Amino acid sequence: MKKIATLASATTLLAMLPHAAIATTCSCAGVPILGAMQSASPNDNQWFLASTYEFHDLSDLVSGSSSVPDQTGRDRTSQALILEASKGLSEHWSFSALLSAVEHERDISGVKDSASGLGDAILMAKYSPKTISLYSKNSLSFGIGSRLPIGEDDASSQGITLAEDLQPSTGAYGGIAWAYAAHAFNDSTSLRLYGMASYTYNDENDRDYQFGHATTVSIGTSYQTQSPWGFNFELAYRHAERDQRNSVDIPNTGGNWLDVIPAVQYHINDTLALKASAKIPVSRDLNDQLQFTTKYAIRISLSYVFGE
Amino acid sequence: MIEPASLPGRAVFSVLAALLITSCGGGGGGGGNPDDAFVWLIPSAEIFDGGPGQDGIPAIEEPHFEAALAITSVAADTLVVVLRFGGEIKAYPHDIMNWHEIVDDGPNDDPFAMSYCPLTGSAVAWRADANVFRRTFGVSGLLYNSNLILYDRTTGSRWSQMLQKSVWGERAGEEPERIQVLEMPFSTLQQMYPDAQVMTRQTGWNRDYDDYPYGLYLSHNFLLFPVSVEDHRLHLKTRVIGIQSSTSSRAYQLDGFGDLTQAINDQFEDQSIVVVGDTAQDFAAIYSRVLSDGTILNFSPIQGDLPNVMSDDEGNVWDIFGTAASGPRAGEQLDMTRSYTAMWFAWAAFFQDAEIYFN
Repeated sequence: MKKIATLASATTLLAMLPHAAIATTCSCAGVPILGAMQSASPNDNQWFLASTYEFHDLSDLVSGSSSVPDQTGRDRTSQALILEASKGLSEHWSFSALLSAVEHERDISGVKDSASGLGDAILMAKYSPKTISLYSKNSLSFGIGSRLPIGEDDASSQGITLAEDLQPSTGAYGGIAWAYAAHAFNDSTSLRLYGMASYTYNDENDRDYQFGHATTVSIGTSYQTQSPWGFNFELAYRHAERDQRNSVDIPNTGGNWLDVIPAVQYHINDTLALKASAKIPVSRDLNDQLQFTTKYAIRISLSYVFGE
Repeated sequence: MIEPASLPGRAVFSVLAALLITSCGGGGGGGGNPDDAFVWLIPSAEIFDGGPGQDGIPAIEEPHFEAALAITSVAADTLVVVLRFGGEIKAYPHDIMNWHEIVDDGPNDDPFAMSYCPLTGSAVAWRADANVFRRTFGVSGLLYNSNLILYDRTTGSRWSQMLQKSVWGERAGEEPERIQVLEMPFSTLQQMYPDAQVMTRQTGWNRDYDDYPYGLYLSHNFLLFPVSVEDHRLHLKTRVIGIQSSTSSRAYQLDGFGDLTQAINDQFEDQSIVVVGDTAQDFAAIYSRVLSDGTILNFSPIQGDLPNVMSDDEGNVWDIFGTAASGPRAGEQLDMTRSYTAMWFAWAAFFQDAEIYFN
């Protein structure tokens, strides 16, 4: 029985991974670390490890909800490597830790500025009163956590501190509330509907800069075929308040985004899975006049489950 | 049936962790910020990356102009930067300059750069040194005391707009030849110079010039970037015309002149100056009262005869650009001073302990 339960939980974990594929939230100066976190919670004494690579193209120029042709020849990209380790502490409780390394680059007509280094980390405790298993078609999890600015937030180029959005780390602590629910439509639990929500509070960093607090809500469906292949489709909404410095709103920051996130995963074996997802903007309504924002993002993740 | 792994899982994690760690070399770099070969003449710790990056705010390189009386895209109360170059009056509306900050203008053999910083409300212009090489300027993306730092496209040297000199690079310390710049509402310009050439919105760039890009910044008492010193004796965004020397400075509030034109015969250190201004018409300028022959003039204001704004004790009438329009010295020019219009906070940050004339 225990092995069956383990099988169910491991499969659940792997199947749910893409659910939070690229929800842009808890930015590490633009890198959505929380979005890389797996949705399901490992069982008691079970470990879940994942390594995620993300490429984020932030070269779309938007005024309000309209695209504006950018004539400055700008490329703005971010790359991140995010490691996650989660462990089941009991039947209902688990703990997750995420660590990131980030590289930002801004290239305007061949003039480049870049910064790389450790980004923020996230620690989160999760409580899961319900888990999809052979005995339940519903899953429910709540999490509360903190973002820790363990990385570099004062990267400079020849003595001049780079802009906040180019820093690998936000340089500020943050608080995160998170919730996830899922429902399986059939006995094999291969077809599911899920929803997720999160709120991230960002504190000020040493330069009195505060990234805007962010709220995300997403809904999606997943289907796991009889083969190693599984598919997801998610609609993700994000609202970010304006960034602030000294409690003063920074113009041209914050707004609303709606993205679709298709994902595909491949189970290499019972414990290893490879996933790929893309974030594609559907609409955005951004504050003020001009903002560079997501053109697209791709994410590739390798995950591994082990333990009892 | 799954037999959950044990050691292999840890091995996988170790590899991934190593990848993470090796990717964390840290630091930043690039060409947008200048290299180490030169030393900043201003405190580098007080220089900020404004965010858009070098040329992220695009300078206008091919401006188009239309006569003030004919142009329809400029509202009467829109402030314009005005200069006289080669006998021609040219005007640059703030609502365009907010998005571009620099206009590379003038004939090929005598170019000049006109710059306006929307965060400090300061406009200056200088010759672009065509005798040495064709030099055009761009927006570096860096700010000092919230103020624009330009870069020249030939040497990459950085130039502080309000200090009016190069502060980094092979031209460091160089001061360009300044051009007298005024600021006034478009309605005042139309009265003064109906034939003035006004820069149009045909800039080659896709921007909505009807919108102001900095939210409530213009009127509210906050700053977006730190400055050396915040001087709250006045509202931070109060528009002043200031005059400075290497040792001191003085600021005159633009709303302190009253509804009639005033000409204030004043003394700034050892300089005899005249400050002419009009709050209702919203203009001001500061000139030396000392002529090349050593004569020190005393001025009186003139009402209702724009662009002529003052007369002197010799019977000369002088226009807003400090040129004698009539009288025995007709055609003579008053010397410029180191003065221009800016927001109070910026003036006070650059030129600390400034005197305030109208309190």
